[in-house]
Amino acid sequence: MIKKIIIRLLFLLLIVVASILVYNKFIWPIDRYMHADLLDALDKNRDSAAIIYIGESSNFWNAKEEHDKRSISEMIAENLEFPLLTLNKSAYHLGIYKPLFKHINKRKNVKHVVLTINLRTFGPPCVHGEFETSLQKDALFLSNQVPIVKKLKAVFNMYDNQSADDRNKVLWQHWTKDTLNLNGTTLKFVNVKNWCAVDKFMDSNNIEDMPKRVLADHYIKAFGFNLNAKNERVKDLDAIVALAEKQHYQLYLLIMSENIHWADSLAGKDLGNLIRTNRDYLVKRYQSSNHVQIIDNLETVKSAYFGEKDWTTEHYYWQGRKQIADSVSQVIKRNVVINKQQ
Amino acid sequence: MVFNSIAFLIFLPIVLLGFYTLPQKVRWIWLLISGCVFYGWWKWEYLGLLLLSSTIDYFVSNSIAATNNPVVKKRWLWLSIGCNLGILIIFKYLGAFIMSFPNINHHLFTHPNFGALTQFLNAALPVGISFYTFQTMSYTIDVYRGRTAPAKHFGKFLLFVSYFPQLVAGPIERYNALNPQLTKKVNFHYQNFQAGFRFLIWGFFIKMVIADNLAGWVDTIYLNPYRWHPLVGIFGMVCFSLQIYADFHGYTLIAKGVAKFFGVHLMDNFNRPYLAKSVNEFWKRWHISLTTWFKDYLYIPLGGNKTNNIAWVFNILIVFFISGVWHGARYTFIIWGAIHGLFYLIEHRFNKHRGYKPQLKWAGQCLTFALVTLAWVFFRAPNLKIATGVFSTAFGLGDGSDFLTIPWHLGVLVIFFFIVDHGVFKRNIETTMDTWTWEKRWLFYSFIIFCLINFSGATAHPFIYFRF
Repeated sequence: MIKKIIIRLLFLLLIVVASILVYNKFIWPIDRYMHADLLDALDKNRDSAAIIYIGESSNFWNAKEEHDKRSISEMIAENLEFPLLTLNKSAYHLGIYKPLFKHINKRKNVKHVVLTINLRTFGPPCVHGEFETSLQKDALFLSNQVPIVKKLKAVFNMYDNQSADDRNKVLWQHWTKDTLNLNGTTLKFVNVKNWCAVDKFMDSNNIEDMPKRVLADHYIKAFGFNLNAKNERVKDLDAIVALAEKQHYQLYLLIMSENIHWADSLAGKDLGNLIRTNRDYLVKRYQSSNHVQIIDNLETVKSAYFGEKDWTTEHYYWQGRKQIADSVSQVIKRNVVINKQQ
Repeated sequence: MVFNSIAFLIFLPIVLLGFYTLPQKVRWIWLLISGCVFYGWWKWEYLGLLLLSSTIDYFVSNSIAATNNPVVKKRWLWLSIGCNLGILIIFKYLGAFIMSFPNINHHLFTHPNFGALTQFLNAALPVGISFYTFQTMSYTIDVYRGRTAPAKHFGKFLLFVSYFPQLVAGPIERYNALNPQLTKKVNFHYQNFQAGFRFLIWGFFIKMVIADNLAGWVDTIYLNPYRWHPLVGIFGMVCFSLQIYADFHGYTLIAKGVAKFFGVHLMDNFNRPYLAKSVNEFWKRWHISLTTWFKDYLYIPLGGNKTNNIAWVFNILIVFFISGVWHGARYTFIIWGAIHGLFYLIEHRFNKHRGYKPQLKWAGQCLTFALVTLAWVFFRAPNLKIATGVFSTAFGLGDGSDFLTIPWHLGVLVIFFFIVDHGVFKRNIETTMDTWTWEKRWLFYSFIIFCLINFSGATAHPFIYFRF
């Protein structure tokens, strides 16, 4: 009986080993295309790109009525004479791009990497958002582990796979427990929950303008936080910067414009100042690195050039996209000239 | 703990090892502890709920048996039903009911007391609550009807409720069928492991390779149904029909396989439902343990078909309505149940006058599949807007034109699954595979393991019926 069982178990083991070999050789390229398309794009442009532009929806968003639908990275590519590879996907953030940077390190020709940063991604609603589990699966496929390990980890949900409810609880804690500070002083409403609870946009009959109020609360939830070294995204950015320093390519942290004017009008000046304070924190933290250059566009794009006023996005009309693209092109051009002179 | 997790793949051998090395008289304690770990792995706090439900039914059933007064017996029964339904209402329906009011979510957010409570109730649906509540209710009703003797040992009764292979998504077993198997002496039998392995491997295949891949496509289509070409709309509807079957049938097979390792035979929950020639027949083949539960504990007590026509129609509609509500606090489930009720009644009326014609077997099967598939849209859609979107796309009323890219090999595997499941295995994997040569069996095992490693869905979707 024991012999019978052992023979069967050995045969099963043999089947498993053979299947793993087949996966690594033949099936992984299909999975990579389906679940890690950015890695696929990176591998297919292995040695051609000198500049890599890493962004999210802010790069390619355009309005239906626009004639110029070029993305920011396309505009940059037209401004510069180097081959540019765009890696972008909606909702991707620093935590997802971090594993991708480990693959960038293997590309010898890459000299400049532009990484877009929108300040919302540092906030609790993004860090603990409902899409985070799905994004974490993408991060797993982007990591540089052995393909079959990535696949099996995904199959068995062995990644940060918290339920939306669990994430929501953490988010709730941030909103109720995190004290908001400006220049060392606690804000009047102390935390996001209290700030949202305040009556807003009441008319003379004491009736609330509900859509406006909900939008104001959304802005408060999205931008109502203080950055510090414990922030998950700051840790991700630290790791990315460390990789850039190790591999000696120039990393550009492109701080995207936020509609501060609109935020101020909805929630008051304190919110705009919070956003600025968080920007200052990032600038201060990373400006000293030799391989990092910060392109601060926080207030570059005018409120009128924001494509969506009913949500907190970094989606700009072509004028806004062009302003961002020009600022990046200028900085890279200047660096290239300096490098040539050296 | 879920079956398709590393935790379970470690848990199961440990439980098996303990079970077969421990003396017979303490094995029930080992299984009880295992059930608690299995359930508590998800949220240990809800073990209290399981204990509460079991305690109520244990004491009520013994109280029913202890009295000869029918009025008192009935009072005890209603106490049990009230408590069980109360637990269901509080933990399954209340939070969702409150949150369904427009804008209430926003207002509760700002309210210091109710916000956290409502969020808790909304978020904390205990896994499998409908299954174990119905299982304990059936026990108490059976004791009341004198069909079963009350449990004399509280611990062993607790094991009946918390037996882990079928705890969270059935099959809903009857006390008379399951309890004797849990307490009988079990020796190690190679045949049990062989049969268990066959259930397990096919169950994992149809869950992880078929259901999880289909889930990805279905989720994509249902996320924004308006953008798709009509063919994609129809494809999405058919995919969900196959997904929910593969998902639930896969779970049941794994549960049967695991139970088999312990020498326990669980009832069949499916019998090739998509070969049903009528909606009536579909319900004899789909989720059999729940259908028979409703028949025995709701339909027949209401009078069944031994009443006048109007009362019978009412009975049918009430059964399907409650069947819809049983699945969750969403009006789309109620619509799904009501549609099945209407199909059932129309079909009955039609058959009464026209009679069944065997030459129309294929037409009946196709029509039944189409009707069931249409109804599944309401089951899958989170709200009426999405359901309308899927229908308008599928019937060419939308202006979407996008197509979905499906890897051809996964399409082939879905067809392979359906043919093997409905055409080869029919109802019994065990006996079918016994007739195969060893070469054929091992070729089959090799292929399934190869597919599990290479083609499992990239996301382990939770079993759909876990949330019920």
